[in-house]
Amino acid sequence: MRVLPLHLLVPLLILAGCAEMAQFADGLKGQQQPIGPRIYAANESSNTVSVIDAQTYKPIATIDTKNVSTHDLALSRDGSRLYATNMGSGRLSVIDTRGLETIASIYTGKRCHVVALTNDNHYAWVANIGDNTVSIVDTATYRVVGTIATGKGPTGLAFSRDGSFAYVSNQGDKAVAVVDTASLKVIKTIPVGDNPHFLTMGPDGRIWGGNSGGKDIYVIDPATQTKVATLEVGANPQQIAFAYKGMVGPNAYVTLSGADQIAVVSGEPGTLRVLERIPAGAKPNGIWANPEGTRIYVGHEAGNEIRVYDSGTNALLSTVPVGKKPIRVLVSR
Amino acid sequence: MASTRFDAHRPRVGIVPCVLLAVLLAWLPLAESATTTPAVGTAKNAIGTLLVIHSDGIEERLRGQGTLVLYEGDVLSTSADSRALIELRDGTWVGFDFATRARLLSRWEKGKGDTRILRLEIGTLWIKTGSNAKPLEVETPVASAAAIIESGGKIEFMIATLDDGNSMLSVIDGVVPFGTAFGTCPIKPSTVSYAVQGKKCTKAEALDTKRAAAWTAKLAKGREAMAAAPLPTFWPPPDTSTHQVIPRELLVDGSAKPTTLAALAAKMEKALNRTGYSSPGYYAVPGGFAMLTQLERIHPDATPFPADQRWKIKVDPASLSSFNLSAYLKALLGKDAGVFRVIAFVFTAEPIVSDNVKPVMDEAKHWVEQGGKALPGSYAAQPFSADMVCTALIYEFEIPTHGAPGRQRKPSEHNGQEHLRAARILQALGG
Repeated sequence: MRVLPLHLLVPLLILAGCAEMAQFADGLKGQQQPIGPRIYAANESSNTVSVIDAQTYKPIATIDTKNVSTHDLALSRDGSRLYATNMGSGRLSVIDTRGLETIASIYTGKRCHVVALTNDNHYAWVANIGDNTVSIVDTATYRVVGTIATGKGPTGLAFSRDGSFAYVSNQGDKAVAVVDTASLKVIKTIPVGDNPHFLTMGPDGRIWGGNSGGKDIYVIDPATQTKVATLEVGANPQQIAFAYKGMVGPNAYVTLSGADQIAVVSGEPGTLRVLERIPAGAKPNGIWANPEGTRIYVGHEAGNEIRVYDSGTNALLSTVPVGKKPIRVLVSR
Repeated sequence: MASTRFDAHRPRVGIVPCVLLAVLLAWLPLAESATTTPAVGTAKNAIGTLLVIHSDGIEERLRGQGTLVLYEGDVLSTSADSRALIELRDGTWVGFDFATRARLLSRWEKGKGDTRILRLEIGTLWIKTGSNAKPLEVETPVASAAAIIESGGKIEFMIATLDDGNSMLSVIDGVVPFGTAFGTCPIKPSTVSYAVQGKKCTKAEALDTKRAAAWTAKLAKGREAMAAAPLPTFWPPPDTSTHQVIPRELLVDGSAKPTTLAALAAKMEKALNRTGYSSPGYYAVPGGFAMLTQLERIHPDATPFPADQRWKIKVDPASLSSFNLSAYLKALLGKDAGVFRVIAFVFTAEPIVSDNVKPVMDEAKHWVEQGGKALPGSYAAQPFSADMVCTALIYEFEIPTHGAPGRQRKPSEHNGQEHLRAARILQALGG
């Protein structure tokens, strides 16, 4: 085997090293630093989204949604895009979370209320309470590529774990419509109660919702498309998140805007019970848990603040002021 | 719309007043324009009626040719026996077939600006873009069709909602991306594709799409005729003080030979000359023409002043279109109090619907000079068909006190017939 003489080998190695360094630098240029965990709050009366550092609880920015009555939020899986419904405008705002600015505004329908992303994040489904429809927005082109009549006054949206079904709560029908996402047709309507609102997929794959006009929550099993449990939890249950209390859990944390409380619900369908009640501030509504299930973040629509609780001890860790009437709270990973 | 507000950024106290002042000064000239609502386009022609419901619930209707201004959020609809044509601001034409309803929307994107969107609820739309058109999309309940203009290209297509809830796209010119919630396919000219709820659009099939769009020709014909008219248009006319239909028998001689528009214009000009009017100004109206008389000073009983005072009318100096020192100084002397009138004789088969815009006296003063001096040859041989009507639109103004601004009198204290008799025009026509 022939070996290159040293006076040729050394410069060649240096050149190769430089090329590798340049490639590495190019790679760094294209690859942006990840965004740390953040709390996002939709402020309905400020028409803004508050952005807060989820570790230090310090404000990062307030984003103008360029629309009116910002109500609900959905975050893309990679955390780069935040979608916000705006009831007054009937529009969906698309927010660049890195640039911290609204980059698109899409008309979906009258009084557009809630938004949920399909499991592949290719589409944003937006419920239009004033049109009794759900608009399907292509998240790549921002085009509305379909509209589904789901029932009267759609106010909640969630997808099943496998994405085969979408669940739409309809306040006017006091029911949840089940939409087959393959045919985009309503295949079933499940009566649930007064003013059903936000829907959440639980850790067990079941769909949880609260009847914000009553006192109860309900659980729908996608396997049977039936309501498998209800439980009276207190006045005006709004939103639900799941977290652990030490070894116990996951428990459902339900904001009760009529009782200024958070109800902690434990158990399997059929044996649901309220474990405890955490005193909250004025009109708790939005609620979210961190992925580890150790913190819950609660938006208070009358207090204009987010309170952060340790789910293990129920201790209040921080109170963060946000915009006016925060309805939806969401925490990125 | 404000941009992102970063809470950490705080300007230094010392420069705050300067910055505020600069921002204020920069903002002031924009403040007025920021309060105006930009028009999205104009409804130009309706065979039957186009109903426009603005976002505040106010309704407007277009019948025949005209200029009904359209805004974001407007819902436009045609009934089962009506069709209509609108022109968007970028020159794109949109035809509404029978029983069609669509809403004017837009999407905003950073760096791309606004994309015009027509949300078709029911019926059929025909779209034809110009070469410099901006992006446009039509949404149906199950799909979205986009007109994306390549450099120098044109797009023409029809999109319809079908009774079964599906949508059909027929492309006449250009390539149109047709998207559903299950994917997007490019549809080429002379083909048709269907979008079915829950499916991707169907494979494009060949179709004589030009023939399918033949219904738009009549709408476009009216538009082209207006555009090609060698006269300025007087349509829709401004709000009138009163009006009167001139009996047909006063205009035609009763012989079997049809009266031409040229003969009609000559007869009317002769009648006007006999009653002291100078040459009228000619304007185009849908399917016909209009003759406007010079602004004249009249008595309270609608009879004209003697000739030496009839035509001496001062105008607002600001209304002078080109600077002329003598005219300007005259205008500065102030406007005389009195009552004034313009008569517009409109010959058309279209129903006359005013645009609800009040005429401005200082503009009315220039109507004759801004119109054509004679009826062009392209009109001359056209017959005064049986469905055409001559309507005298009376515009009456008053200047209540010396130097005060002129304003329209509405309603007039006299009806149209009284005005025409007081001006002795009916008599001159043989009435």
